[in-house]
Amino acid sequence: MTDSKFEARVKASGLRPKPDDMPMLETLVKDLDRAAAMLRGPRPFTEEPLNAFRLKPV
Amino acid sequence: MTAGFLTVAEAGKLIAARKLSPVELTRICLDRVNKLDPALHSFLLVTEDRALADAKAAEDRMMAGRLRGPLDGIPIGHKDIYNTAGIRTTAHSRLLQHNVPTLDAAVVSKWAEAGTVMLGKLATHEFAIGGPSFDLPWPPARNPWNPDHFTAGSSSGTGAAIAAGLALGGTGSDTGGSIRGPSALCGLAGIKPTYGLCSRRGVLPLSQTLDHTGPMAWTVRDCALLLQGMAGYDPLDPASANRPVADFTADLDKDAKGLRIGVIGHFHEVDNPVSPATQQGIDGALELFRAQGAEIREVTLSPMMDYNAPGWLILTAEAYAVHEPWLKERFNEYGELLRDRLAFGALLRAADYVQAVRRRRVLCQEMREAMADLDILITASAPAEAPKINEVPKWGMLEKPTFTMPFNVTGLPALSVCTGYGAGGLPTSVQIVGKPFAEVTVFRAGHAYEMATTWRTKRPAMATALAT
Amino acid sequence: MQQRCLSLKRPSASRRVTKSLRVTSGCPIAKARERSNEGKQEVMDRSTFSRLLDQTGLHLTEEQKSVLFAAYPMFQAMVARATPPMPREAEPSAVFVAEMT
Repeated sequence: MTDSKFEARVKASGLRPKPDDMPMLETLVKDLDRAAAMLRGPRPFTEEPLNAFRLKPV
Repeated sequence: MTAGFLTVAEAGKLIAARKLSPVELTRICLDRVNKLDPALHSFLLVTEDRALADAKAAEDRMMAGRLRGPLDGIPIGHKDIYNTAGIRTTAHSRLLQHNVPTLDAAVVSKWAEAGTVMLGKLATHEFAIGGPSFDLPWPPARNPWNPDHFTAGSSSGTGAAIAAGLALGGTGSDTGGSIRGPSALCGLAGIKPTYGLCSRRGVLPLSQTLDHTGPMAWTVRDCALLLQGMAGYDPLDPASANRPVADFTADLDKDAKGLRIGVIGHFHEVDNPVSPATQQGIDGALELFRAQGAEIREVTLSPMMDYNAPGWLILTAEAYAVHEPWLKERFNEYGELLRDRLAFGALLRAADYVQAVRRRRVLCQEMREAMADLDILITASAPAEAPKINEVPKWGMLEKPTFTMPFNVTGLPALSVCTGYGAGGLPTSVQIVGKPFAEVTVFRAGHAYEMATTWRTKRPAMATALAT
Repeated sequence: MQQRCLSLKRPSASRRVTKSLRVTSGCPIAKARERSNEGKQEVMDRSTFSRLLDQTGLHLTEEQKSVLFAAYPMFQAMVARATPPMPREAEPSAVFVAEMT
């Protein structure tokens, strides 16, 4: 198996898919990457996460 | 005013009694900046005209009997990640070299409304993470106790300026120790308040769930006064706590009698053993508290690295998310330290971030249980006296756990207090930690220590030479 | 195994969470955790690391990659330490609050 960029990425993630599943997985990941890129930017510098860390007094 | 050094509390009292002119006080500070800052590099921008205008307005209020409180007429500086309307705010970075915000940060507004005099913008590590760096448009701040030495960061300019008497107080920010580190190495008092107590709106973010704003000053009392002027609910900061603000000076005149103190000995004796002078300072503080009638117990928590690891992971992930667009397009415009430290954020897996945030809850719970029948915790705030500025390791935070990160992870209020002077006359320190929103107790212990010791009478030689 | 680990003290869910992580030595699940974390720190060769960085969209010189590669094991060790297996009760510390202001 040639160690393509995508295969290296899968390997580094610890996932061990069957060789037959690799083309499908690669397509899926490309779609996700594209979606993530659209989400990513450009965003206001000060945009806060939705989840908040909150403390209560004891 | 004599050429000596005044604290915020002392200057405020003199101004209230019309025995000190805010304009004269401001001129003395500006004169010190002119004479000492070429060696210290604590200011990125001196706003002399603004300072004199602020001082004149304060003086007019003083003469009219309309002073706004104990901060009216007090010269301060802001760390250069705090937005200041119409005044350059750079984050000590080439990327924001010409950035002029249109609005003040919420805390900047609050201090201005309290009557403070803004002397200028203070050096920081680049975007509060990359430093000390020598490849940025401005040099790093130097330690006034010995300019060959490090101030710690990232509120490096605030630490240097206050220790040298260039300003009476200033803002810092603290994501992994950036208020307490420079306070420790420059011999100040500095508090990272409870997460949510002070607004972060208008302060350039590093890591949203770990970022805190807070004050630094020469004494614990000054920190309490300055915190009073900056704490409070801000509906425009999603992390802001909607609860009443305590009177932070309320318990300052009590000593340590009756306080239940837990010592996290393994943090500073095993997990990252401190220098002999630092250990001596901690032991001395405990002895003093015991003599005043405090009850002292040993506390065992998870190893300090267990607190640091999720802290740095969360910080790296959140900071990378903030900087990703620029890291991709303008990587080489950042300084080497910032870009290398944040680049790892690109390799972090989402699952690891989530696990770290889960781990954070477990550690918060552990700390909460450990403090259930205690009032404060004690450990070091820095491992030793300041190292030489050119000997600061790039990956220090990965090699050894810091004493400050556990309290960013848990969000607890934590104060660094000077405990004397070690090798070469460089300051040592202790860290006092409280329960959530229990800053009053933290200040009480810190002030009790300062009142029973003489460390606050000594200033850096370069500053006293100028004053005599 | 997890129950044995957690059954030392069960006064509350939160206490169980804390306890489960404090009692690490000699606990079977803790040992499994350590093994699991060790497993995460696979040795990565320079070319794989370089390809991974290329995937990130950062534009780094070979020299810059080498600097990061040298420090990467330390970073991986930190990640492993930050992410031990945890019981289900360990929810994230940052929570979604529905009533947004």
